[in-house]
Amino acid sequence: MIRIKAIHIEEFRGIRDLTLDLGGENFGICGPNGTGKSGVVDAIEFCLTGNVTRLSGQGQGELSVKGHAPHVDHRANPNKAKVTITATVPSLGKWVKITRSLKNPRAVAITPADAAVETIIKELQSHPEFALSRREIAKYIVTPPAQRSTDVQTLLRLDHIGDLRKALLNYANKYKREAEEAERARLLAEGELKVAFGIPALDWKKVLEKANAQRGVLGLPALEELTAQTSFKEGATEGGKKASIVKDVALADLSALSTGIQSGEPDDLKELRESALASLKKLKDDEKALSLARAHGFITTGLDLVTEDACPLCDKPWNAEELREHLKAKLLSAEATGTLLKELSNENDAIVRGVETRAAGIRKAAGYAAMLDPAVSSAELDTYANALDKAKAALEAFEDDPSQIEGAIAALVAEWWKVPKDAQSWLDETEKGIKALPDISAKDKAIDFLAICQDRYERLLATTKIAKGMAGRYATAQKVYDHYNTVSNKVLEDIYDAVAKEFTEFYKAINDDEGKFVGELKAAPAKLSFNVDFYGRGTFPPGAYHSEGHQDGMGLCLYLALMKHTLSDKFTYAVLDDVLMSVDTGHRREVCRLLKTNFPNTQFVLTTHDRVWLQYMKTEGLIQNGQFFGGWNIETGPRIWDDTDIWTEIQEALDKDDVPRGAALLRRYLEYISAVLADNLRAKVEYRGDDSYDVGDLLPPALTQWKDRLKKGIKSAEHWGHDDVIAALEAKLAEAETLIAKSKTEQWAINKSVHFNEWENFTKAEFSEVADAFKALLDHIRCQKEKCGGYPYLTPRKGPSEQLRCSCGAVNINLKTK
Amino acid sequence: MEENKTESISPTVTKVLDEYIAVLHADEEIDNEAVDRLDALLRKGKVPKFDDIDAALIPPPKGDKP
Repeated sequence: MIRIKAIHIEEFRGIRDLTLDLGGENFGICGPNGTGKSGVVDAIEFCLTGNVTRLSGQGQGELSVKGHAPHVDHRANPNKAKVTITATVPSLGKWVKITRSLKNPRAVAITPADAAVETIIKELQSHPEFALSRREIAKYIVTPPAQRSTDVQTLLRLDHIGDLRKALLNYANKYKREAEEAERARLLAEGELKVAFGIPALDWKKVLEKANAQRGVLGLPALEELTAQTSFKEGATEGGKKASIVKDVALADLSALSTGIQSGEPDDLKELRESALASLKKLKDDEKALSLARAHGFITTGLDLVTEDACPLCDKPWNAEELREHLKAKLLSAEATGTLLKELSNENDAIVRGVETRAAGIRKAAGYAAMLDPAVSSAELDTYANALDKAKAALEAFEDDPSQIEGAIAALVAEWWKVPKDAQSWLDETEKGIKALPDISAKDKAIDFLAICQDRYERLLATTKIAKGMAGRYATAQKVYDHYNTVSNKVLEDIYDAVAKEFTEFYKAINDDEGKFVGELKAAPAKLSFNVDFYGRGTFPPGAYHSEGHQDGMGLCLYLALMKHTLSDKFTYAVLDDVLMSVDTGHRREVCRLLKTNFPNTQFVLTTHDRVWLQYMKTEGLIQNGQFFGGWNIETGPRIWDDTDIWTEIQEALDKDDVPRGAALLRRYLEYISAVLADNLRAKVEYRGDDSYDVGDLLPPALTQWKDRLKKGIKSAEHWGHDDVIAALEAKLAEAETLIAKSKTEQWAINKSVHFNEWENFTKAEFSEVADAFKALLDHIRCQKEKCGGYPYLTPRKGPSEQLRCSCGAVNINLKTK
Repeated sequence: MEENKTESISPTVTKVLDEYIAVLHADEEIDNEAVDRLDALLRKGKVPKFDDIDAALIPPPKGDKP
């Protein structure tokens, strides 16, 4: 995977021209809502994947990447909109420049062209989940188990595991059907051989006895054993008269048929038929179930066709992933119907076997009828056999396509076992005709008998061979599927267990008040339940009792645990777009530490509209660099605001004699920094329910607190007898008092003429003095180390303050006196 | 040609396939060469069709034995 060094964005979303230097490190982007932060996230996603989830995800039907990702002024010129990312590929030790234009979102330019790098970029394209927005985080937490299963499986790339399972199951099922059909043919052949030999069961000893008896009539030696090469008629010469009907065998065939007819519908089949009929009628009455059943095969076929990014018929581009998800959801809701169809399939299969046997018996009788002289009409028998074929075809058609339900019902209602009257009379006629056939000589009889037995024996051998082959293939196919099912289930269970364990550790790390917390991921078919402990009172879905802030934290922890398992050491970067908005302030530092400690090799790009949050990221050392978006307008896009460059920007305004602009810049910057200072130093600020604090509300108490903490540090140093610290802090305090006085902050409340609201009316010299004073004051407070430059903060966050420190430790003032 | 393209497969799928193929190899009733062919097929990263699986598991007969 990659680490992003820089990103250059042109005419994309709300951005006109922007370059961000991430330096391959974690990076924070902060700015009020509507200043273009998410535009940067979208640009990263677009450059790496060619897609913008925000424009193409669920519920975004009217939006499109090509149509709405270019800046609004360049809707008609998508070629103007492009994003370039410069990155390193740590695993290859190479640099890469990735450029993608909205003119052709599917084409990416990679320089230098390198096969290994191209493979990595292609892999990135398949992992759009590196970008997580707050809106998406909910899908891991507050979502139905079936949808969570889909989302998590998509994230973990488990959908392919499911697809393979389905392919292997279809393979096994197809051989199951073929093996069953082959077995039916074998049973039919076996039945006919038994009838020919006149034995109730296939006893090879008896077969040999019967064959040898006839061979004895012909003076032929007895057969010693029965093998695949055995010929019952070996050595026999053909009789002078060509055998047409072997009277005894024909009568035995008709007798077997007649017995079957007289006993009516077999008991076992009756039960199955009634059950199948009831299921079919139920299915027919339930329109929704029927519609799902009808669509089942169609959707499955459709799913198989969605392999490319365009329709295979009309080449119209489609979002293959989205379409697949849509079709899968449909199949999921058809699951219950699928179970019903499976039961019906088993019942119908047994019925088909009965119908087939009957049809074969009737056809044989029709054959005899035609051979009689004079011939007995076989038309009615043929009609009945054809009707049986139709019934069989209708049942099989339903299995292939449940929309053929009417035909299946008709086949089951039609009472296939009942022979039509006309056909029965022709059967009787045929039997009569056969009985009336003159007896032939014992030798001819023996020859005919052996010939027909040979024919039926060879058929049994052939069908047995096919059935055995099919049974073998089915056994292999089933084994291949069963092994896959067992292995994949176990791997998934292990993954879910490991993810749940990791999630629990992460969540406990950011919520040290939940020591006994535990999270559980339980997989059931097509569902993934997620339950979390609630203060030892049991485990519940996250949305049941936990606050929104906790749910956000859970979403992040689950996401991180899933990504860790999905990408392992390839989890080298992630974009977290405002995902921690509602994490309470008490847990923010822990979140920073979690990301920093547990993912040292992952580059995080974090956006937030909360300035204090950005500062936390800096003070905790999660990010070294960040970008503040100070505003946005449609002409220029985001207004970049670097807190170290602000003084240059103010000076530039003053150079142009633009005091109002300089005043506005300073005021806005102080609004930002005073919130950071007030939070860091735990300033005593007058509380406002609407949270609308201005500079006047925050900065004076923050500066008072700064002096107070320095004094507290002096007291502590005195207590411990650290004279050098006392001297240094006294000098710092004196400097603070001088600089605060110069800023006139303490006079804002009593002297309107120096109030920040008046700055825009100052002369250039007057305002320049104010700006210099604040620059000196803020430089005085921040860490003097160039690499750190952070504003000190108090620890711990609650209770008596023990330490005033910066993230690098260069500022480290002990406040304890005990 | 398109059919022969190999898609990248995720680590999770790779893990499943590694363990799956090991289990198939350990099954004495399944031909090792067939398992190797199935392995190659599944690692292409595409969902195989019936005929693809069939060709992997059941190779065409080399000729009728006497």
